[in-house]
Amino acid sequence: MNSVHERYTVSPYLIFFMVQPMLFGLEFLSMSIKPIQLAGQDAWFPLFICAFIAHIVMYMIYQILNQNQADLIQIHQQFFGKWVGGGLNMIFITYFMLVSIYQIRLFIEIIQVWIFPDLETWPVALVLLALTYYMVSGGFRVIVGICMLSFLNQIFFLSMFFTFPYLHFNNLTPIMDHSLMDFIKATKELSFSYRGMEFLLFCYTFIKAPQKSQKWSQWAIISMTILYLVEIFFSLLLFKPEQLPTEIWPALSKYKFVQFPFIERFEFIGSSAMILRIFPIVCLSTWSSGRIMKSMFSVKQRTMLPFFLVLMFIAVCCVPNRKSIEGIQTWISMTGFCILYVYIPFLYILNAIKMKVRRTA
Amino acid sequence: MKRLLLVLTSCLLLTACTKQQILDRSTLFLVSALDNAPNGQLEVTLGLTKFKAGDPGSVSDEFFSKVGHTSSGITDLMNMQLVRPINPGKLSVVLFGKDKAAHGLSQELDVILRNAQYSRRMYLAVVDGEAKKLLEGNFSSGEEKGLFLYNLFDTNTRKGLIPSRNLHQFEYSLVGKGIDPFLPLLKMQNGKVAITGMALFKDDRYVVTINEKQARIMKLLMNQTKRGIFEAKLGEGSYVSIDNTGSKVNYRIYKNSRYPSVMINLVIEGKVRDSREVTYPNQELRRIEESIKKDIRTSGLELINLLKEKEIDPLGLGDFVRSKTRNWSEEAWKEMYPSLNVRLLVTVHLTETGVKK
Repeated sequence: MNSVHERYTVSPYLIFFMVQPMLFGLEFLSMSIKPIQLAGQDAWFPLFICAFIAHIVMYMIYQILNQNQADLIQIHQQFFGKWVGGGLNMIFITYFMLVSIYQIRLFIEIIQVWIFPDLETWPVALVLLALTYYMVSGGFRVIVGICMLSFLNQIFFLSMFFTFPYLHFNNLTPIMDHSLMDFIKATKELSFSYRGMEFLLFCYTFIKAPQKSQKWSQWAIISMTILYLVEIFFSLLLFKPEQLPTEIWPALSKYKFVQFPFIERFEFIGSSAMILRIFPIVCLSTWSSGRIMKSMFSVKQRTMLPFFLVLMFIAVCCVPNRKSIEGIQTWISMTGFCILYVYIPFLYILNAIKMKVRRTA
Repeated sequence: MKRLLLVLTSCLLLTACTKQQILDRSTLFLVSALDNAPNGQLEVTLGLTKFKAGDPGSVSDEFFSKVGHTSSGITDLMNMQLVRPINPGKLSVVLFGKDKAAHGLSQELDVILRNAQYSRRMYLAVVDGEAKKLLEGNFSSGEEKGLFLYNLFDTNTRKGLIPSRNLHQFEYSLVGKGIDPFLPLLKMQNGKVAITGMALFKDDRYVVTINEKQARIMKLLMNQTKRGIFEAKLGEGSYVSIDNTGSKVNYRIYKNSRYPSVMINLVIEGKVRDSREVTYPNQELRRIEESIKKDIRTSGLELINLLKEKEIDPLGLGDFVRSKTRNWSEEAWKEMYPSLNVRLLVTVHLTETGVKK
């Protein structure tokens, strides 16, 4: 086992606060559209299927890591040798970069559409990435702190209650009025929302007594399922299924119902507060990329960091409009799907075989 | 430390990159009116607020109107007449002229729904006549007209006299299957603006008007209410009035024959408000209950028959049947709707008679 000094590790329960924001990205804002389009009032059912699968995948991740007592970077090199393993690690770096680019660009887009229509992309990207530099260079424990801070964001869920007079409860019936094919398609769409657990593969060695943290990861998935369920139910009750596809961010449109005597437009606060959601993801992804580079080429993580950030900055500025953001999204959802639901089960089986062979040998 | 300082100072360079919008240097409007203009064009009237410096209480308004093809283009052109640019964020009431509403509203709605600056809680209404004419009238006794209209809708909706209808609810019933939208109808009466009924829509086109009494019945049939006075005739020209203290409505579907039938069950709790100094014994109360029941039932069925005849469904009966039927299809429902069997069951309970016997 590649030992990490205890000074740099975190307690197992903190994993809850890391897995949760990793799943809770900005794609949450539009996650209810496609499942509801496909499965209508039954969209909660595919959500349960998806949550169940996510729990299994999480279990597989822990099995792989626990049995090897190492992170995925070393497992790759042990299993596939230096070159193939290194190539796989590189794929993960690309994927993590893509995820961060997507999150940052989506946040900037929301600011541009909802608050400042004539804001340029690059100044915001510069500020966000400068902040990322500051956080990531602080090390793993600082990032965990940021993740905990982002937990505050949950408060915004209370805003849902402002929509209460406009809810229509007969939108929920008839129950189970969709075909199996619809459910499978909706489950596939929802699987995008459970993307983000894969980072655990890289920070495993930074958890104190990592076996104990599995409980907390599973709890994080349960808490996310509840949040998704609330979001889907409120979308169903508030909008007609025909109305939803015309919205881009239904979760933000819900803020339009909030009314306070002292603030006319709550969505200004709501959409700016999304910044708390992007930082855990961007920081952890950048950190994981740096970590991979460090173990593979033994370069210092801090020297790699500016390189990654400049790359991200250029990429973020090169994404011009809604259409290309959606393009990135399909890319990520495809890669994420392959990693979580194809590659990890494959690795799990491979690992099981390997363990058996070693035991019999 | 040095690095951190560098990052922090670089942030200072990035302040105020965007266009500033200072309240004192922009013109707000609360109400806008949309009318048809010749050659398929659109006439937009905006009630722009004017503040007097040094006198915080006085807000007046000034009306600008222009003809053009799109409302956004017109608003932009209006800036040519103004010292301070228009900011549309505060728009809270949109009025449509009757002609405009009859030609369809979906294009104008798209403008409002697409812009992130507008609230979903703004009120929409149809004006009997031209919306511009109504705004030009002097009905608010000096108060800012947009605010006056907003409060008019807001208080009446909160009190439950008219069914609540804002932008979101209009879009909901417009886009939703098996449900048709409606809007309050405004009219100038003796120099005062009044809500005189409801304008019912088929898709996005205004079709028919119902009066206040029918609107009140519609409200009773749609959701729970806690307010409203009913008058009941007791024969020989004597009337009593009953205060509604709470009404409940539920729909039930019967699918025993080939076509479903819908039963609407309305329960009203009330108390005697005005009995013309007559003390009523118990059986007399029953007679009042019967009389009110009959009255509501006849006018309710009348309303439902009118809706069926015009093939519009503001009550959302189609949506209700959808929620109880598997594989519901809109086309089949639309064919069936005019001949749908709707039964109305009204129950009235008079619980109190005020502080007098």
